[in-house]
Amino acid sequence: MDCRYCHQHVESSKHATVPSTQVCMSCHNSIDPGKAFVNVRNPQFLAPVHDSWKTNQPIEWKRIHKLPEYSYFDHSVHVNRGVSCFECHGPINEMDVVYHAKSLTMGWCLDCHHHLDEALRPRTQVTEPLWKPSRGESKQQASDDLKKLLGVNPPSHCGGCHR
Amino acid sequence: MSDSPAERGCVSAPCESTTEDTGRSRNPAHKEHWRSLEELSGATSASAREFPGFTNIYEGLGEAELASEPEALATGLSRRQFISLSTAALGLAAASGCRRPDLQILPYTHTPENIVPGVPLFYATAMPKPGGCFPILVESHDGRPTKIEGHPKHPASMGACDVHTQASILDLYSPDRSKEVLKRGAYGKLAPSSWEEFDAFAAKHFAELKKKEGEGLAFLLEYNPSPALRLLREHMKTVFPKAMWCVYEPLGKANKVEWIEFVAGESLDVRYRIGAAQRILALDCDFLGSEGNTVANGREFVERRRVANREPAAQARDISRLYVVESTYSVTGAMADHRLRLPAAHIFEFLLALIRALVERAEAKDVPESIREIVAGWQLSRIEIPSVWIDEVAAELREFKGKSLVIAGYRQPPLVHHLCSSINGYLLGNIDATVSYEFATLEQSQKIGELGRALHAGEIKTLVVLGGNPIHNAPADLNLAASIVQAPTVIRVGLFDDETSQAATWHLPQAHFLESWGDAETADGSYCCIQPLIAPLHNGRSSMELLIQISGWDSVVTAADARIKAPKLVRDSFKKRTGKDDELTFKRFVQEGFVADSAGLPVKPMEPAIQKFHAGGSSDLVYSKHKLEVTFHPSYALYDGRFAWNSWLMELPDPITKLVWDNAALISPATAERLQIKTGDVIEIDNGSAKVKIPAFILPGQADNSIALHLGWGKQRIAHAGAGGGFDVYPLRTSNAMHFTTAKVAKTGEFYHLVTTQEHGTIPKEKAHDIIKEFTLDEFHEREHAEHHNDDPKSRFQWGYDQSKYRDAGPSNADARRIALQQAQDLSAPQRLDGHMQWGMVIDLNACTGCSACVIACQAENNIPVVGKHEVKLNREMHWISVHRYFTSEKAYNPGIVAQPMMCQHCEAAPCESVCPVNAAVHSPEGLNLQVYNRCIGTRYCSNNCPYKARRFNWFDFNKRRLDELRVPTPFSEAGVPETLKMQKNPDVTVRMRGVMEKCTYCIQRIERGKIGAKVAAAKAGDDKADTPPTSDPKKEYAQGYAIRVIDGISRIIVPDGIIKTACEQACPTGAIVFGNVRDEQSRVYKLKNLGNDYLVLGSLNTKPRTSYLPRLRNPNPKMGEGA
Repeated sequence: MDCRYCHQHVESSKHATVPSTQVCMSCHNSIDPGKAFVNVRNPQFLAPVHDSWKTNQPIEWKRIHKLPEYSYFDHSVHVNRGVSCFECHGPINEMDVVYHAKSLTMGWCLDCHHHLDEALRPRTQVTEPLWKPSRGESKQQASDDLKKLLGVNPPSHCGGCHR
Repeated sequence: MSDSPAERGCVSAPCESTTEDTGRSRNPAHKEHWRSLEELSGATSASAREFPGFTNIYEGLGEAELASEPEALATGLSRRQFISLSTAALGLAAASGCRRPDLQILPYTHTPENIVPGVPLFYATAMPKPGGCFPILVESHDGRPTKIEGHPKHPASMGACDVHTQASILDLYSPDRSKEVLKRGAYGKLAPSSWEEFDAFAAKHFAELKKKEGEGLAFLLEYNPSPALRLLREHMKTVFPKAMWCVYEPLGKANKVEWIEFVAGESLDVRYRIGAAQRILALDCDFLGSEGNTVANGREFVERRRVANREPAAQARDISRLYVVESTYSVTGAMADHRLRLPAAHIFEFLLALIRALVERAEAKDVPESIREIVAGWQLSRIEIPSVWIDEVAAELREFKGKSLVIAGYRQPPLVHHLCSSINGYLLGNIDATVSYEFATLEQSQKIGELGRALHAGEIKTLVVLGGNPIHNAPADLNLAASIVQAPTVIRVGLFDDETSQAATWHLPQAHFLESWGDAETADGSYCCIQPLIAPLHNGRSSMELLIQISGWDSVVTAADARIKAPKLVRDSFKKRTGKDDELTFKRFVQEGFVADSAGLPVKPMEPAIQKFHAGGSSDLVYSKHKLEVTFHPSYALYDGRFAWNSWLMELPDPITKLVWDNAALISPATAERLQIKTGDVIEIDNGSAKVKIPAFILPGQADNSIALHLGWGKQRIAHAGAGGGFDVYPLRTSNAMHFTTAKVAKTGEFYHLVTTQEHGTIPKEKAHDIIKEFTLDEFHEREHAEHHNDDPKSRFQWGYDQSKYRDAGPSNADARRIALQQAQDLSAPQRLDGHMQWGMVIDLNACTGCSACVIACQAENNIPVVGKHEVKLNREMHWISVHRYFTSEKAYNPGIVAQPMMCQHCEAAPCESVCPVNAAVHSPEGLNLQVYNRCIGTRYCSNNCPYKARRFNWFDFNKRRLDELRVPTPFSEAGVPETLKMQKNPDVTVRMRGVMEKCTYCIQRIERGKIGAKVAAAKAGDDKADTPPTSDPKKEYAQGYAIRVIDGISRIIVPDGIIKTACEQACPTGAIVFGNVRDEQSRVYKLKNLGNDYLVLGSLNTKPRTSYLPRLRNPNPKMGEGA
């Protein structure tokens, strides 16, 4: 399942955006427990979604990844320039419950902004957890090529993130 | 040449030369520029202001009030108590919050259409204003409107906007807004009620009135040129045929309309084409500042003043020349080439003299003998006017027949407008060239005088007041406050709980224009839509909804129906106005905000015949020592008082006086000296029926024997604002003298602290020639083509200036190596300016009128707090951009004015950066001088070292604390600023806290938004080109003009010129501010910076600022002689 099925505005907004209940309900649409698309291991797991749908109150998602207020991160520019979700959020596809995989400190951000290393991949592949470069390149080579092709030149001055 | 003959009309003319001879150079190239009379006389030292906002260190403990401070705020805490309490508070704070707070994300349950969280939406709508609506575009972040811009496609705006439009967003969120229905209950007191109660009352009450056909019912409205309202009015006439319908605006074009009806017998509106006029004579008319559509007027006027695009030979004729005759200094007067100070009542006689001169110069065939006789018979002896002002002005106007323009302001009586029209039409042939007439869409309405009489006689049983504040601003002689109690039912709909609400039996909260449906016409009759951006915050209702409800339009019964029917009314009105009924056209109207080409068409008026006029009696206003002229003006900040709850506007320095939080009686230096008045002395003005006490402010350029008063001020209305608020002068205004009168003036002996920013951020006087440059056309050319730029500090820039030197030696990829964080020893090295976009700005002083729209635009965009009168006094205002007003020339009695917007200059060799001990002031590779808030520890060294005094320090938690609690120790302070004020904040800009320095960022959030947009657009467009190698081929453009180019060996994204606009640039009505990439040779900013006249403020300091200025052009008439 593609990240963008739920985080649908990640390519156009600074926020990845958390899905509305409507989106959840397009799959988990059976309110009757025991029917399809209900988590069989733990039926109560989807109760907040169904409650939200019934009461029209928002689901209270726990916020895991948070940058300080004075930094302005923009999802769209990263995703569109070939930085994959997994670079910052870690192996989301393997997580039962999402955890804070990377430090998200300024030094960590700047490491990548200084040396892109293996961070870039084709724009269409950013949500693909098992992506490997075609043509037998190394990830480093692929990243370097894309850097030139797309003119990726990330800012490392304060004003890039702090406004 | 002095204009002092204007004063010789005084009965006891005193010597007026006291401030005239200061013995300064008269060489125009070295004009004297000064900020205040004190500075001119050397009474204050600019060096005393080197440490802006400096004060004693105990201030944080509530003990810092200056000894002479009358408005001292005392906390009533001893230092010992304070220390013990704050220690306790610290302990409590430490006990909590050791963990990261648990945060939730709350998404929608049902996804709304078109909303992408984090991406702002822009809606077209219009702001209703007294002269006609103003088309706007409103930025909305996740459902919160945060910023108002002008409508980029509407000719009245072209993306620009004025101070009031910018600031009106704050009214929406004002914590002082009326939030509940009030009803007069027991003991005659207003008590909280509810809409339900009102609805029940209204249903019964208006059903009875319908039976009586509206007898005893009256409506009092603001002027609102809304076709939907007209439609509703038609319905009201059938339901309440006997009701009275009264429209009142305290300031307006009543005089103009009156003469037209008198002469033409029809309702016509005058339109001026400022841009077509080569010679303009403005008589007491502030067409650039407060009259008519100032935004369009300003744009057209400045277009005529630009030197760049004109053939040198044609310039002298093509570039307009502005003559201004006025009593007080206005924004228009500041742009004048020649300015005559004349009391408002003497304008009439000036005009008679001018007509006589024009008639004498006219050819025999043009003016029949009968008219010559009438004109020759006029008695003109009361006032002496400098003869050049008659002869030379008449000669020029005649020479430019058909391309000249004479405008009179609305303050002048109908007769003056009549004569102006005769000049424009009959004598100068300007009709259809610079002046045209259109049918005015005026509703038949009663005057407020008739309503006052009916109220007094007890004929009105039910009065419905929709908006406005008539109890405050109606003519004083009507005494509405006393007569309104004669009406048993007074229903008042208003945004604020004001004087009128206090006199009403029902007060109903009104919906802001951003919360309601409607439509309106602009000043030139173009048809605009008003759509809601947010549901009413305080459950208010619009005037239109209420009228629908009480009149039962379209068989509406309940209030809920009325709300639903409001858009339908707009739809019906659209159908009637445009004749189109399909859904798509209407939707497009709502989306685009206006109907193109819907402005009124010019009609040729009946030739206003000069014979109709006989000079019955000329002005009998003769001023004596204690009887002076008093003129009434709209406040540049509060207009007629409708913005009195707007703290941004309260703290906006007046464009001329630079006063904040107060108004004052403006008085000329000579008159002040004669009456022994100093700035701050409270004077009593007595017009025979009312007395008003108000402090005086000595204003150079004010006409002698005339005192100017700004309307709209009164007691402080903003909750928690503390000091200031001004003085109500409406009591002096009576029906027979709405605009000027005579009054006795006496000194009271009291003193009032006025706060003006005119000396704030003063740059040492010895450098003054480096700050303001002001040239005549000849001097302009001389400099434009002189070969003196080699020594100019401009040429030593890394980028932007004289690129030929650097183009080949541009930094290579290897040189462009960034400083890694680990290499701490490199932190002191200057930042290499290797970005392919190098930001810079040019400010054209020739275009800047000083209107200050940029100040409010910046405040709205960058979350800039207000600090209150007391802090402004201590030089702590937070405006990132301040418009400095310089008086020019050595004559204190009638100087010129040049306005200079001043903000962070983004110096390449920034003095602030070298003194910051924590590297909070650093440079970006794109040439921005960055301020890193989370590094700043508040030493304020940077501010002290800034030669431009452009840095602002957060002395208090202005964004967290109420203004009256800035100094209250934390445990005792209230919860902080109201939630609604937080809703206005721009989410893309950090809200700064106490103890950090801040300053203009060149709107870095807009720069980043532009760059990110370009990168995303280029990436999306580049998908299908993934196999092609990087290229520098300029033809390979991606979507929306974005391109990837190889620059300095690195492929980079290009953002086209003009995509990124700073907030000040966007708001500026005259295009005085231009921002862009100085490395792009096609950019506007590059071209402007390469003009020979472009100069740097304090360039000799070699700070290499990125902001440069173009000089002010004066286009004086050589025949007028110096000083005229």
